[in-house]
Amino acid sequence: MTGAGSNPPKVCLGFDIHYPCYLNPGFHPDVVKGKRNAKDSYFNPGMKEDLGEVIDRSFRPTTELLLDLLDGGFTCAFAISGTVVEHLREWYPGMLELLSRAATHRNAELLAQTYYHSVAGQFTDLTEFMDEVLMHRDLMKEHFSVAPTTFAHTDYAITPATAKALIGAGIEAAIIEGGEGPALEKDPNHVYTYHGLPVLVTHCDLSDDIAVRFPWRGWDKWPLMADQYAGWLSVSPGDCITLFLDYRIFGDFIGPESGILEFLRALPSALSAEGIETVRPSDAARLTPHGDLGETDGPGRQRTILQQSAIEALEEAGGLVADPEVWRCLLETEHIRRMAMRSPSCGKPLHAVSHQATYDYFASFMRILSHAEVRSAASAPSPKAALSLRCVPPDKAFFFSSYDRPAGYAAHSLQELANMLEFAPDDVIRYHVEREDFYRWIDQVIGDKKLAGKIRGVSDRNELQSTIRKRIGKLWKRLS
Amino acid sequence: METLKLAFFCWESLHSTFKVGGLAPAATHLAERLARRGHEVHFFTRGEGDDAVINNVHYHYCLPFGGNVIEYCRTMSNMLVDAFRAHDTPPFDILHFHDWHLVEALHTLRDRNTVLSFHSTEYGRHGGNFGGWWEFKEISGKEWYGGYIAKAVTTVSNSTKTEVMWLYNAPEWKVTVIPNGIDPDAYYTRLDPGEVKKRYGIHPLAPVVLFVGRLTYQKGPDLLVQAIPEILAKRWDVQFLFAGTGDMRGYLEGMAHGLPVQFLGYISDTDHIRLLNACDLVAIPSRNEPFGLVLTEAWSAERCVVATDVGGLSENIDNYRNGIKVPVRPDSIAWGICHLIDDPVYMQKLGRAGRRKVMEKFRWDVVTEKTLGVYRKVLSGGPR
Repeated sequence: MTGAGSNPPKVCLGFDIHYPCYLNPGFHPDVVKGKRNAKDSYFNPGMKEDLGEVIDRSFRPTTELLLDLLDGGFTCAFAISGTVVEHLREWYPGMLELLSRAATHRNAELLAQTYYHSVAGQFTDLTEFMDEVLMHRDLMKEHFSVAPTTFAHTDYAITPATAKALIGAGIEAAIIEGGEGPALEKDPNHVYTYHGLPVLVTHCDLSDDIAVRFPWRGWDKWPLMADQYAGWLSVSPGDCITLFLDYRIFGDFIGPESGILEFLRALPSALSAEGIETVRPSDAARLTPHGDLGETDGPGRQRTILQQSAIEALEEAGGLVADPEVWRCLLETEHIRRMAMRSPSCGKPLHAVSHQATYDYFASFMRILSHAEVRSAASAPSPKAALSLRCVPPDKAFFFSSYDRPAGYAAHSLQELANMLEFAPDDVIRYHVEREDFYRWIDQVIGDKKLAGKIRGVSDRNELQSTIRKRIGKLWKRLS
Repeated sequence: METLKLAFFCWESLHSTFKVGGLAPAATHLAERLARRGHEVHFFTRGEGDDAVINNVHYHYCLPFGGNVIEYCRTMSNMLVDAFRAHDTPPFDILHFHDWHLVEALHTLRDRNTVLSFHSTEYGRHGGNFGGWWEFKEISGKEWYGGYIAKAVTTVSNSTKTEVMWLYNAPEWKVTVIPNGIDPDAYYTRLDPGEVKKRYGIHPLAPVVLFVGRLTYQKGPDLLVQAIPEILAKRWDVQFLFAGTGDMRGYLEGMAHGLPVQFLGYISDTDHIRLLNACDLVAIPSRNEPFGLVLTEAWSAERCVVATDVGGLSENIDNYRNGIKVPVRPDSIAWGICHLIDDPVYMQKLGRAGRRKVMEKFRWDVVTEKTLGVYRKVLSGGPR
């Protein structure tokens, strides 16, 4: 706590404006039999209408409100994803017009992001990540005539690799999340450097007071008023409080009846009453750094098994799905987020679902990804190789098991099978070898007769693994 | 304080062929810490081989025999008293006895400056139940008598202190609480949890719940096994590892058939530390726990715990701050684990808070100082 008389911290407020390509949960391969274009069946068919609703409930009123505030001297930042700009341009140009007035306002800053709001930064190969960063910058230049220099890196933990890539792309600072990764144990209200990149750390508790707890009547601070909130900010120790909020919180996730828009309207005057100044992220990043973040100490937030399978499959799919548009829509962070029972909120609406829900989401995701790969195989240099490398949905996956109990994981592709052979217990491997499960799965599900023949009868884990890996290498060569 | 000549009487140590439970490390480390401070420490215990000096502690071994545990402990007492007398010049300042096994030696040497430490009680070892069989009565009798004749008594927690006062009418002034110490750095290591999990055939990202301890009624492993179906109903990928062995193992294996459970049996110290640092959560479902070394071990590795609200666990865990305490029931244990298991960040926070508490309260330095305080009181003629 700062003592009385010391300076209150500055506040740096950012908004994440994005509308994800939701999956079509009812997708089934039969639905698109004979259709040339499957893309519309993969994703939410009512996207245009849904986005329209979100604009009416949230984007338009909030943007209009913010424009007033910006005119009054309030400062904030916007991260606008490439997909949302595309959709607005196509369907709701009026909204895009309004948004560009806010984004190009002299008191606002436009932030950099990945074009598709994607998980590409979690891949081992960062080519796609870099491509998206540059695509997004071009789009921002084209539409808003601004080249953003501060990057919003809030959907997953920053890594040395992404930090390096961002510096390489000319990014001067990043906003990262305080709830995971290297910043977890740090005091969020300071500027740090991470592998040479200045970073602002979002304050999760204060973000979630708005994003999660605001409408909750059981909360002992309900109803939260702007002056009370400003009071909390003023006594939060440090140089600068960073809040990065999902735009849809205002009016969509939290309905207007809760008073969230009035709260936002009253915030600037409440802040100035406390003597708190609002700043742009790029200005905040110029404050003296409070040291280096260093590496994560301990595991931090880990992925779930389902998320891991999906991310691995996605990275492979980069070379297998012919339509990059489909692949990139599947990269959406929202998909991966929904494969965990609980995901960090930190300015995003609370995500807490049952294990069944995560599994169902994963199943629809894999069904679509697998289908897209099968569709693309026909036009590949070697359709057979592409099919052998594809991933399969959970109903066709290889479930490891011993004679009395499941081992708790399943392989959705040859590559994943080879990876899992590394740690599957001996009794599990013996069980499957005895039943010829590996042979039958590769032969009948994956459809690689040649490989199936080779591993038939092989009982040694290393031999199985190296045979499969060798085959995978060969198959990829045929595709290049 | 001048240097003291100290005699430890304990039926197990880390440096002998016999190691049963948490008593061995507790007594051995205390002896070593005292020796490190310059005191002359002799450790009278069971074991094969000749007497030895290990880490500045003098070990004196005997090989007792007997048809039952009482007779066995009687011959052990007699042998160790002989060994003690052989080294009693110059005379020992303090004789520190651990648990009931050597109460007969305590009886023989009752005129000396004696301290008796209760690491648990017979009642507690049976999960907080009285037994009607003769050994139970005999051992309880020895515990009462030991507490009666010793010049000072120490217990590992307040709840054991209350138990000793209630069961054996020990007067309050005679009993001091000295928690078990721990070397937090010995239990903390940086490793890739995924790699360790793989070695047990577990997916590197599957959440792992670890149980460490004897598989006996007191430690409640059956409660945890009973909780598993309910946990799996909420989350399917949780895996359970049981490290340790005991008389309930066969029964538990039958119960766990088809569940994602592995019984690892006795594991080496290195494996123990690796597992502690690789698991996601440590479950301590004890029915009675005088202290609960597992707790401070888990905390040292920054792991969070779900523990039953009994004894030393109840005393030392601050609910929702460094662990979760639940009633002694399978459904409650399941609730506690489900509450934490999908929130790695929260678990990490609790684990770190636990380690801070260990650094504050359970380091050997703190514990050794407390023990020396008891010795000083005995030497100065009190508490009496």
